[in-house]
Amino acid sequence: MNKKKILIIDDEQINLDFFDVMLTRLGFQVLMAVDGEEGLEMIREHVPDLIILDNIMPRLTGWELTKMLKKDDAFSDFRNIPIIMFSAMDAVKDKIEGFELGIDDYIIKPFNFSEVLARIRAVLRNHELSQQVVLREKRLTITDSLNKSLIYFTEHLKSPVLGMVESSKSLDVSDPKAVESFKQLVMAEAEQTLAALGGLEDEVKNLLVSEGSVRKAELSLEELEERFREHFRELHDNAGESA
Amino acid sequence: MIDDTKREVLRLFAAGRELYKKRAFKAALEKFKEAYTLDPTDEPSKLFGGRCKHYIQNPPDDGWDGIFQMQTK
Repeated sequence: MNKKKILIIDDEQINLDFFDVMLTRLGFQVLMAVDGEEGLEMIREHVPDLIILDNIMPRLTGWELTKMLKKDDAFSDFRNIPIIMFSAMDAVKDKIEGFELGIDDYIIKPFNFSEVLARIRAVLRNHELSQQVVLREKRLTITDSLNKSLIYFTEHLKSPVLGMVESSKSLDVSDPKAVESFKQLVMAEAEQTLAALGGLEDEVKNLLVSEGSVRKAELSLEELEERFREHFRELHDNAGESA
Repeated sequence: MIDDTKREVLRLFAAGRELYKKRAFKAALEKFKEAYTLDPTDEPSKLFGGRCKHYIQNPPDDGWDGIFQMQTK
């Protein structure tokens, strides 16, 4: 299983150290940055699965960083990385602003580590679920185009065959000229039928290739749960620890 | 009864497919275009017309097997 990458951005070294030890023990890959600018570099370089961010930092604040990630087109590749924001301020206005910017959770310092872990789990799980929904939607779209293609290529198949049937009804087999022109017609109609079949075949293969790549990324709900159980089986052992 | 328009569309589509398989995308596009100008509801011609446009801009590899690879993001 691939380790989930969590990036911690905090100007207090003690917090970084604490998260590093605890989250590494739980099987996460921990990345750290001491300010927003360094954080941005790390995001670009490592594309973490989750960002935990202090809101008050020198240089680039948590707010500013969040705003860049969510709104700036230069960072559109990182827009969907979930963010948990930390704050020493329990101000409703700040929380609302954070959520409006698109953060996934907001934690007040000082925090209880078990609670933080539970929140990390919830955020990662939600994120994974919404990605699975997107994948399934893609697959639905593919199935939908397949259905449509079947219908419209069938139109191309029907006509030539009907044409042959029609001509054969009025064919006078004793007239060599008529037989010859019937033969020409059958050849032409067969060619069109084969062209439509070839087109349909292409289309079906193409859709199957895309469907396969989407399916590969899909997880069942059980697999999803299993993935998270791995990381959080120690959750209870750590209950009570705080920073 | 099959009307003459449909027949012509099918003929053009078949001609377009032949050219398409030979990687003559510009010539193929002309055929597909003619087909869907005659019958704007003809989806197969539109579909392959679109692919020709794509391949004119981004020629496929030498190993191209005629299968269009959908560009997914």
